[in-house]
Amino acid sequence: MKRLALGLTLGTSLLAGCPGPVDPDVADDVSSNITQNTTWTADKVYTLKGYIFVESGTLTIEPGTQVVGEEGSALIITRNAKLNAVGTAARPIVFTSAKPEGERAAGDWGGVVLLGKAKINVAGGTNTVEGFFATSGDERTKYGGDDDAHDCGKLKYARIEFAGFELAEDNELNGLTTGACGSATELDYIQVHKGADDGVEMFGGTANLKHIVISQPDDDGLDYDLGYTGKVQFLVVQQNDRVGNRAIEASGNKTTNTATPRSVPEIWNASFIGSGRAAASTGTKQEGLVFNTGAGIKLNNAIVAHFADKAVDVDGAASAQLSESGNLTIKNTIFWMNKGNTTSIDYSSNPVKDAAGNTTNEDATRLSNDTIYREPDQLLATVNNNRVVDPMLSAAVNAKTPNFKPTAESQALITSNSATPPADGFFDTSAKFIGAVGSTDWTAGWTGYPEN
Amino acid sequence: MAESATPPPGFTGVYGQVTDAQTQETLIEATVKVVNGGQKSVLTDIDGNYQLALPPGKYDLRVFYDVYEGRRITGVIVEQGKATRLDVQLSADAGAVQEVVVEARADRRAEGALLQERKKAAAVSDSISSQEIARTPDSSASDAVKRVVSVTVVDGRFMLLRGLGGRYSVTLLNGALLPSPEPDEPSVPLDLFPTSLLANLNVVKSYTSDLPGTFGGGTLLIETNTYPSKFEFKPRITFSGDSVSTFQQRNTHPGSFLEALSFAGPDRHLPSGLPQGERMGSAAGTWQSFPNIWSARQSTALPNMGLGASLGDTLRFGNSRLGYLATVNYGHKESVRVSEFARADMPVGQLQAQDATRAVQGTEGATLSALASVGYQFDRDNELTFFSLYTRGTDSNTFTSRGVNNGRSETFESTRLQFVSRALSFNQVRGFHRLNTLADAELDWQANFSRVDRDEPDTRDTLYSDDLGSPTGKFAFPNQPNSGERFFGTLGETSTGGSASLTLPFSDLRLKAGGLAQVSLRDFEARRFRYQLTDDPVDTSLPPEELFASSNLGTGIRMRETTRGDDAYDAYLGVFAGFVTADYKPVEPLRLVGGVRVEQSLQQLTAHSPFDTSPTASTHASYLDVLPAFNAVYALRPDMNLRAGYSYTLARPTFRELAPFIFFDFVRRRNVSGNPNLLETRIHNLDTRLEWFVGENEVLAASVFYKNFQSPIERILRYSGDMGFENADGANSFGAELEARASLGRITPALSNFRAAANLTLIQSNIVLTDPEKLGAQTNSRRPMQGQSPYVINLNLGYDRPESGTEVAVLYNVYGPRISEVGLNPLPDVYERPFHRVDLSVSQKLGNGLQLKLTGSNLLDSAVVLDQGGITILKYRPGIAFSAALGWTL
Repeated sequence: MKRLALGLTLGTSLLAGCPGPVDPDVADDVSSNITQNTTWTADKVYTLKGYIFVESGTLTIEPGTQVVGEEGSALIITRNAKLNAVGTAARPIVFTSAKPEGERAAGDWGGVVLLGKAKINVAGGTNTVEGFFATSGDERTKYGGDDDAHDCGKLKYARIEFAGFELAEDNELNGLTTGACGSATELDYIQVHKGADDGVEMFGGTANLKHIVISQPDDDGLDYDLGYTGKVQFLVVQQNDRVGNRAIEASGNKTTNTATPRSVPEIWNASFIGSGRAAASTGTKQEGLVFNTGAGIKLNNAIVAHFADKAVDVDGAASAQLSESGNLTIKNTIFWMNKGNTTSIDYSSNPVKDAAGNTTNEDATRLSNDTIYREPDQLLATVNNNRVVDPMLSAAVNAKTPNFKPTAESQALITSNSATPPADGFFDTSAKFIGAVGSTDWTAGWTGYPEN
Repeated sequence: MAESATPPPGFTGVYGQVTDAQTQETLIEATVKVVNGGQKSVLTDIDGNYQLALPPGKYDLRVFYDVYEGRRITGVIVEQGKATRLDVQLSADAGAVQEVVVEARADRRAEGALLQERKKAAAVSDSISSQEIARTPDSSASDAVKRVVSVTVVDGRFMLLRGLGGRYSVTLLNGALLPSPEPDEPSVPLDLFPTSLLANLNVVKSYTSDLPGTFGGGTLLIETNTYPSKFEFKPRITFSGDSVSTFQQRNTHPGSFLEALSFAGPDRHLPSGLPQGERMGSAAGTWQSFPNIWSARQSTALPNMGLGASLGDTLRFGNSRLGYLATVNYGHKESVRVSEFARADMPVGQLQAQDATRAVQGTEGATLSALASVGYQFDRDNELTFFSLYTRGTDSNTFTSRGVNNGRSETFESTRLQFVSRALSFNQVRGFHRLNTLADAELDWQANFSRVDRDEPDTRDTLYSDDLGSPTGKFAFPNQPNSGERFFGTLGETSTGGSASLTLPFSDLRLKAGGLAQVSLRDFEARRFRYQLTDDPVDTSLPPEELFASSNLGTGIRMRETTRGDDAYDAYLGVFAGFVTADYKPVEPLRLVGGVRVEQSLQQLTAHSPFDTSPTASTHASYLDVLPAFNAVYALRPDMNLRAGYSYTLARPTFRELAPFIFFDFVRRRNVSGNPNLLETRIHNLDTRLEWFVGENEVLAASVFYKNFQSPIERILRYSGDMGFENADGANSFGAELEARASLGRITPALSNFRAAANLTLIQSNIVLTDPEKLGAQTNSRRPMQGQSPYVINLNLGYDRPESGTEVAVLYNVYGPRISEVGLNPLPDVYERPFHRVDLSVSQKLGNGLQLKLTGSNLLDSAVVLDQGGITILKYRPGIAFSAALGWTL
């Protein structure tokens, strides 16, 4: 009975996003790697003391369990192991910072890493996950293979807060990092809040994402690379007015942009929300969707609104030329108030300069006939059924208590503006609306937006 | 009483004359001694003649004289009723005017002596004497060693032998392994050693078992000066500069005046209020205790200056002698380097240059070094030497760069302020004893203790960025790694050990046995801190001194300790070895040298957090290796040798290559980390060589070699762009070397003041990568070894007019294109283009013991260029350098 009461108390405090001082009776320090089937139960608070590798077996985490990470810690599910962390809407699993409430910040700990054996587009077929020193001998940080149906496990009804670790420039752990997870992996109802570097980064593979909230990441919201070809439905990316760069950063392969598989996921029903701040007069830009180094997208029923500096940037010839084969398409999408623009979206140039700073090519983003790819001309073509109109969301730019539901009179709910998701077993075909959230708010109850 | 030059009829024994090899003057009271079969000896008379009556047989003789190199002549045949004539020349070059206290070993300073030694050496070797060094513009060992066949010097500091990487080049200082003060480089930076310290540099290219088992391209034997025969005090002043630095604008940043004296200033160190043994925490007061200096400033680079002095003498006490030599050197250097950097990528089928960046580095460096050597010769057969070297240096680097990050669609401006101090202390006691038993057996021993420190306190990085496509014109703090970061790293390594060997010089057989024990311990620890934006608004376009000002710390800006779990490591290397070699002459022209070395090593490394000793990664490699070596020397003629050798040797990964610790390469904008899983490399070596010692100081030589590497370690780029180290499956390297040194007086006597030397090395190598795991994302499974040049050429023309004290030398050096980094995914390999170097040196005696030396280096103003499939990845010009040095001999 005591245990139940404790569980209830913990559950309540977790929902409030408030760990409070950890009771020594329930504290469990995790400082060694996991090599066999292990279960973490809701009556304890698990503290990650360093990089914890699940080397083999399955790590099961019960609903309502709290896992806190100290500085320099992370939970890594290697490609020979699985995660089974399935919470419930009432009792989500919470991964958060070990610091006391009020002192927590993005990057306090390293986040959750899932590694698998699906295909990536790096020569040789395997890679070492970012955020770790890379050596051929360390099996634990490797990902990639030939098994596109690989199963990294399940992560459902879970929040990952204040995570991410920037080892170095372009070498980071994110709130949730996946490397080559395959299609059997289940990632559903996950919030990554205040993650550094990116909220979620998918390095190749075919894992699908559903019901994902990425709130106020330090850098990008959803970052995908190295031939990611999964399916995504019901995705919210919300940025705040302080940090955060791109809602989507899509990359292919940075040395050989045309390496296959190309990074072309299919995404339905997504809301990409900037902070609505004024255009930056200096420094880091707040941008909507950026496609570079040969990455594409098949995006439908999306909202791209309130980004301070840019709606869409197709960067580089390899990405631009994907539009010619239907692998960089944005359809049935609402753009609104990006860089204050209420009638169109802005053209984004990608000049090339030499070491002296002289421009050698005014824009490297060119189609195969050498004409410059101009985002407004390409994306607002009638055939795409895109529009620049106010989506009338309830409180999407509110950082503390956001609400991504469109109001009743929103154009996002007009069926003819949207398309029907394909009936392939993954997509919810009833989502005949624009944006991540329709008339039912699936984010309610299990998400949280703590400031610190 | 003078002996007559010719012995009377019927005399059975040896007779002859002992002369100075240089002046041909006869030597009075030189000793001629039989070292086997009786202890008989005589002195030469006033005409340098001697007669030594001996029963018939085969003898080994030693001839020695106070200020000359002693010589051993083996296999002298005495027949009944016959007088065997044996004239002996001592010391090869009077110009060196150095007394040889160590009688048993040659004064190797003189070129002629070196060639003599090389002729006698059991193994293939190439040497350069102090005399030869003095003729070049060389100011440090790294410059001087370039003059040796197949030697290439990288970054002006690190030696590559036969075009192989630094790991394959071992440096022994007076017979002891020298630790490297550079944790990132496997070899010893040779610019530590000013040329005035050098007696000679000897590069051994075929292995003999008395050398450490770590042998790949070769072993550099550095011998420091022996002692002047009379009191000597030599001050020296040098001024130098180069075309890209001197009187040009130079990046700089404030530091203490102590730094000009090669010591770190007090403001560089971690603030005293910072907790040791735990993370910094979130007290803004602690954050505010760091010095708030981030930006580069400008000054004008002044000429470099060097001051040095050496002092030495030999004191005699009856039969005993005490020699000493001490040198002190101070140098101050200011330099500028402007590099252009780019990254190659392939958007749609064609390589293009991305991320074009120009980086400017301003460096102010100071070095202070002192050396003392004291030798005490108890008598002719016993000697003790104390050697102590202390050298320290500082580099205050200020980097700025401006360029494009195409991946982020940004332009950026970044700055790094870096200060590095290095210190190396090496102490050695050596003994030499001739035992007067066992055919005059010789016992050599040495014990050493060394300490290396490298301190990099408070390296500060900032990067500000602006949009590439639609610039605002203002750069701002982007809240990302490598911007607003501080790094502190300290490294200390202690090494102690000793070795001993016993030589039994029988007449046809020379046996040598010995052992070595050496233990090294290293500690490394780093801490990192980063400034980040908070949720409180702050103007990010403020310059860093304002953005990170105390008033913002705790409000708009917070500090976080970003020290990683593998930012510290402890490492241990223990090597224990024993060897036996036999040097045997079965028939007169043939000499066989064979041996075996058993070497046991234990290499351990534990990476951990600086706050916690529990390991995050570790390695424990224990090896027991049996290393055979065979060399055969066949004297085709007295002045011509044919040699062949086989040996099996090792190369170990360095601590740095094993440590998973990561650091950021500012100029190349990438991370570098080690690999705890690296294996020891094993190498089969085959060498043959034909050499002809044509005349005094003249040689013609040709060699062919083959090496087979098992698990060679290579520098590999990863997909992320970061650099690491991996074992390849194997590699093969085939090579040929040609060398000629001659006086042009051979052509016409009018040219007798001219001498020319040339050497050429041709190498073909290929790496074997059959294991797909090891091949990884690398583009080519067949390619040359990383770092291996296909050719190395040195040309050298000298003019020497002793009567006016004039010497002129022109030198040319080039190495062929070599893989700097292995390409991957699937870009081509990155090649370093050939660098053509021409140097000129003029030296003139001015009288009164004054000597002026003027040098010009890199007169062609060549550029260092890295090229990847036609894209220039990195380019900089080191500039044309000039120096003027004035030396006195008092």
